[in-house]
Amino acid sequence: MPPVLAAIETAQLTKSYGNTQALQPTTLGVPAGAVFALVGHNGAGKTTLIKILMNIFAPTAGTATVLGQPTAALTGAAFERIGYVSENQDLPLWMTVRQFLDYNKPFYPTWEIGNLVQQLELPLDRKLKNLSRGMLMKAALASVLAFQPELIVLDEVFSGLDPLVRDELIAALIAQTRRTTGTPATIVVSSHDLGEVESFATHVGFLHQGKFLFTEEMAALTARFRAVTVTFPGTVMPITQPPAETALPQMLGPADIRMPAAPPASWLMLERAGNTVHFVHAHADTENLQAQVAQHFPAAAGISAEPMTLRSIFLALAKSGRVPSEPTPNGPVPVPSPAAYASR
Amino acid sequence: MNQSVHIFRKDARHLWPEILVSLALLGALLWVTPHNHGTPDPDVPWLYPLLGGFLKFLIPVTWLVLISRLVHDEPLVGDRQYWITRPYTWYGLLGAKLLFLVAFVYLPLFLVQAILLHHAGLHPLLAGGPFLKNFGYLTAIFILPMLALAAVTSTFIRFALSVLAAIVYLIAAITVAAFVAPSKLAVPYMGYVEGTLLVAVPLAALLLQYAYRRTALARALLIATPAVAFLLILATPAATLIGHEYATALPLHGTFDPNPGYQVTEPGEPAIARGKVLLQLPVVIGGLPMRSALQSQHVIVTLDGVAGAAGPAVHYNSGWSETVSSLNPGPRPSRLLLTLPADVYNRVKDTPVTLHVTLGVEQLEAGTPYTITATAAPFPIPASGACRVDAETGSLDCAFPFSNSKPIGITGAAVTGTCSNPSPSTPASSGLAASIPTPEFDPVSSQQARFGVLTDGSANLCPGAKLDFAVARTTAKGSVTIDIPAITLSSYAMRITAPPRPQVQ
Repeated sequence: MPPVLAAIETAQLTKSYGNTQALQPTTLGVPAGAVFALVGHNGAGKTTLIKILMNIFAPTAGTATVLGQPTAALTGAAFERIGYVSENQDLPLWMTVRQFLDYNKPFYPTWEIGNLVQQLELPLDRKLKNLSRGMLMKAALASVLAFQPELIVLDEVFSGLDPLVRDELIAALIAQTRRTTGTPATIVVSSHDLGEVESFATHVGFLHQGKFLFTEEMAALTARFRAVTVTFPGTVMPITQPPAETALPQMLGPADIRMPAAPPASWLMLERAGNTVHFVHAHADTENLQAQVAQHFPAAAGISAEPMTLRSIFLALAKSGRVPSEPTPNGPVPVPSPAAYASR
Repeated sequence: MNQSVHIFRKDARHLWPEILVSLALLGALLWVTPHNHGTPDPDVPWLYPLLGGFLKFLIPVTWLVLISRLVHDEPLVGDRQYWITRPYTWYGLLGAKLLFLVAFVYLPLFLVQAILLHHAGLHPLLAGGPFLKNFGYLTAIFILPMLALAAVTSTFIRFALSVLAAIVYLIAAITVAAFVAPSKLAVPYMGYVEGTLLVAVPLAALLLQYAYRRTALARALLIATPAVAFLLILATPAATLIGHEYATALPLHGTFDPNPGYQVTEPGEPAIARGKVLLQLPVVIGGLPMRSALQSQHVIVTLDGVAGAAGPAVHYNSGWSETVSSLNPGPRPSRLLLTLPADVYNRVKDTPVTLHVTLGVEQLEAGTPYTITATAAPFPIPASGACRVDAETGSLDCAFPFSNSKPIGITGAAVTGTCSNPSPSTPASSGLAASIPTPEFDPVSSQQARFGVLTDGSANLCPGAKLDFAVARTTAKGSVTIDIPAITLSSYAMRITAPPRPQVQ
């Protein structure tokens, strides 16, 4: 099988249930080797998208390819290259962990369990039905990691897990992306908790009401967004600046602060709090922040620009009203980046 | 194949309790059934028949559970099954399920039935055809529909409810069909068409589910099948097909025998069943060779009664309708059974009418006779059967694997006394009728042949008698007409209080 540049590609992919459009026309590309975090609230359409990609659901319209194969053709041997684990998957609970792993082994020519059992501390002789949820997810993940798939798709597997188990799973996954034998795995992991995937995702896509709000490389995204605090004479900033949405700088005196009538399009959530002004900069990596602030706030005494968490970025976009709430006319296609929203 | 074996081993390991119960019940069947072949236990004559009946109910129920558990181990309905994103091939999975059924349903049943046949004096290896036919029926009527229902359900509860719903649905469809088409006829080839439909659709639903998991479509197919079969019955031009079947006029001539000795003279009301009066007319079939017979399944009766004191003129034509008559060669008349609507009968019963009867018949001819010495121990006969003489009753007790597929004529010497005190031997005859094969747990189909002699009496068969067995074969199909210019029907209507039987064959 020739190497595939994009592990997943979709074009105008749509899924409807009656009159309800669970997935609006979506075009997406996940590069090979990426750890793609598919985030969004419950009911955003993450599971629907994943199940279409896994050929569990048929799309209503559009096309999708996974590892170069149309999703409709994903059956049988195609799953020797794809590992899928879901939080609500029906596993053969009557089996012990050992039986489960032994049963799966003959299906995969590349099966190599190695020290996964020790690494994940799996109780081999315990039945799956007697495992805790975290342990069950670990067993399911072990049965996937053992055949070293080219694509690993995880649907909400981290939900409700204690941090220790979650970290173990993440460590096991990261090892797959760094393996030296074979092709490094591409990982798609869905979660409704932005914080839990932020630490290891290389790409992120935010799905909201069946529509991608953005998909972007994580590094580019975090490089672009900054929580900016502009201070004016008479203001004392706290020693540690909390995220923009929670920061309440102490005000020690009045200042002559005029809010700009037409701030730059890349400034989101511009607001004044006493003698400070806060905003989120959506293009901090390419635009000259110092010059912009000097132009709009000539009286500014100081500028602080802090990196933002994924959660903070999304909230900033949502609160600034740059998140579209209506479907894009004519379907929509390229998945818009935060920058696109910021420039509207 | 490797994948099938791998999944099969997993299923066998998981479902061992269900397998064990199924095998235990088959073992019980093996123990109980021979007790029902012979004379019942005088102390508890009800015990073994009751146990046998109970097992015949329990075994299918166990198989229902087994099939459901087997298919639902990898359910095809739903979107949460872990196996659907594993490298299963649909044919490997389906193959595993079929392998399981062969190993734990068909093979054990085959072994039990083979032992039962051997116990009854029948050779299992000679019963290959009947075995295949029985397994074919079992598959078509039970296994395949249950597999298909399990494939479109996700749990045993849903499966069980679907089975109940299917039974209610079928009963309703059959009831409606009987109501809408009460004069349902056995149309030639219709059984094959309906049988093919009832096998092909569940098979298609099963393959569709395993290959593509198209549950909605598979369910629609299963729901539509009885309705389509029902519409097929309604849309079939039965009379045209039957007429085509008997289009050839056979070189035979039927005549009515007006001999008063064959008339019913006793008073009493005629027996009316489903609004019809049953008539039995003595007829002679000329031109029918000896060692031949006619079997009639269909008949057209045309009746004309002239206007008179009893009322206006009557004309009645039945169209093709059903009859079951067997007509023999020779000068002695045979009984031809006909039915007439009660209202038509009542209008003309006491006045002479003209009858024109067209019989659709099958001409049978006895094949080469095989002479066999009858013994008290089982001895083989043609058609894979075995018989033994019961010296106490003077009859021939015969057994066939599953069913007797062909009628067999038997002639030989019998005695009118008892075997311990016999009278001189006299030529006697008997026969073994063909039976319709049905799916059976008990593979031994029993028939008893009582012998009669030509002087109108019964005779006893004793061990050592030489018997000629001749298997009948069909030589022709066509129609025979009988014209009766004047007949008073009340003289030939069967009575509620059975009169002495007319002396006919």
